[in-house]
This record gives sequence, C-alpha cells and structure tokens, in this order.
Amino acid sequence: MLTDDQLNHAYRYCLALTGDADDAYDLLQSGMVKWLARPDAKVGNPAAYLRRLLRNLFIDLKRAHKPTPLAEARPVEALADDSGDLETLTIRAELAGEILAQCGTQDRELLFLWAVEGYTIDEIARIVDRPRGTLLSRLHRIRKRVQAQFGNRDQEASA
Amino acid sequence: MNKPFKQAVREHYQTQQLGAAQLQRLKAMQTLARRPYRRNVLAFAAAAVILAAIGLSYVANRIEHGQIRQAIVEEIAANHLKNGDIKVPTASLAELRGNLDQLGFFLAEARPPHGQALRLLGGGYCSIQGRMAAQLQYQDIGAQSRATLYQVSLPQAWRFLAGKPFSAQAKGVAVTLWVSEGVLFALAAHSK
Repeated sequence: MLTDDQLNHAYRYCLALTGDADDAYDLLQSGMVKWLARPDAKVGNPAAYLRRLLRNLFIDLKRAHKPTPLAEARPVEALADDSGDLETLTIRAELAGEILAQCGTQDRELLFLWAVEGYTIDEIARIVDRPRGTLLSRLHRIRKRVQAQFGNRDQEASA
Repeated sequence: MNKPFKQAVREHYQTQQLGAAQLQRLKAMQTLARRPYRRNVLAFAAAAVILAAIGLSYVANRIEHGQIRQAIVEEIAANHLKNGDIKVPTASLAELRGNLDQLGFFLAEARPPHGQALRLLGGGYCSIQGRMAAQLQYQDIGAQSRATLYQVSLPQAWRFLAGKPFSAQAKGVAVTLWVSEGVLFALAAHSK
C-alpha cells in the first residue's frame, strides 16, 4: 500500500507530465487502477514501478489523442553537458511555477527527474529512453529560454 | 529572493500536494483493491460449501436410488414367486392390450435385454410400489421355465433407472430392470 508521501510524489510526477492539476489527478487515479489490478505482481520498488506505469499510461493517452507519439521535433546535435550550467542558473523562487507552466511535457518531465528526483542525465536518458544528447539539447534550450524570458524580470526585481 | 534554478523547481513541486479528499479516495482505492482477495476467499468457501452440499446430495440420492431399486426388485421377485392364476390367458398381445386398458400406456412387446425367447401365456393387472402395472406371464422357451414381465409407467422419481439395464437377485429370482419409452420393464425368472 502506497503511503501519503508516495502518493504525493507520484502526483507531482503526473503534474510534471500533464502540467495541469486535474489532469494529473486523473492520470494518477487511472494509473492506480492499473497498478492495483495486478496486486500479485512482485515489485521491488513500487514507487519506480508506478512512475513507469504512469509514464506509459500518459503516452498511451497522448497517442489516443494524437496520431503520432511524443517525438523530437528537431534533429539533435551533440552538445556539452549543460546540466552543470543549469545548476548555476538562479531565478526568483516564485517564478518556478511560471517557468514550468511554459515548458512542454518533455521538458517538465526532464526537469522533474533532474531537480526533484535528483537523477543524472545518463539516468534520465535510460528512464525516458532518449539519447543523452537529446536531453542535453533540451536542457540547453531550457536555460536559454529561462534566461531570455525571465532574466530581465529577474534583473528588474533586483534593481 | 533568488535561488538556484534546480532548488526552485524542487521546492515548487514540494508545494504541490494532493487534496485531503483526493488522498482519501486513492487510499480507499487501495483498501478496496485488497477486498477482492477477501471476496475471492469467501467465494471459494461458498463454492466449497455448495460443492460439498451437491456431493452430499448426490451421495444421498445414490443411497435413495439404491433403496428404491432394491424395493422394486424384491417386490417383483415376490410377485413372481406367488405364481398366481393368469387372469387373462392369451397368447395374443393385442387381446391383452384390449383387456388391460387402464394402464395409461401402450402395452409393449417383451424385448428382454438378454435376448431370451419368450412365449406369451397371458397377463393381468398388478401393482409395483403402489403403482398400477401389468404382469405378463411367459414361457421362457430356452430355459423351459416360467418368466414374468412387469410393465409400469415410469414416474419422475424412478427416472434414474433409465440407462443401462440393471440385474439383481432376490429370493432366488433373477430380476432385470430396464426402461424403454417411459415404461419400466422388469423381467423375473428363476435363477439358473
């Protein structure tokens, strides 16, 4: 049986995927139904198992509404590891929600796994089954976007 | 106040929580999901009780059927041994049919399962377990002895007699029971 903390953690992951509180709860509830339908399954790490299940379910639901699965829109060039740069980036704390709201599903999931779960880029690449370079490219774009859109407001606030 | 981006994202997510009602519903789902197991156990126990009841009922039926069959065999044997007068002496089954018209079924030719050759001597009414029956007396041509054939309409409670012919001995009489077209036939002859 999942604890309150585990349920809240799973809900946050759903929030990262859907970007909407109601959709996140719906996804979590659907995921729980699937998860509970297999009570005999021997699961070593229920939280990780549930996360994978939620991710697959979310992709299935997306596929049901879109003819093509989630995929990279642009070709990815080999980049240096930008996660370090993102570590040094600072923002006004209250802007985090706004930044995440402007991110797409894949970027939100990436940021969740990186910032909340604390996974390295290599680990995230395995979890989301994407090349490392793709993720680095995304982090690079996130940093540029955050700096471009929120850097000015940051400076205004500190002035 | 500025914070590292990573920390700000982490703290933002930490503030996102399920509402109390949502948490309650999800926890209830988990509790309910465990109940099917209990329900399965109860269903299994109920099924076991039903199966046991069916089994007991089957055994009770078998015992009751055995008792009914034995009672019929003994009555047939006793009737055969009485060797009473033939009420309607005739070698014609058609004549006998005309005389025994209260049976509620059409008196049939004797077709004993063991293929004995029988010659009709005559017959009359009798009763088997309180039911009106026909008693037909024959000469067993092969054995040179007397044979008696009983025919009685098959009641619901005797349906179990349908199927393979049943043979038994009672009071030194060999009795064979068989069912054909809703009529119970019982052939009694002296044991060899």
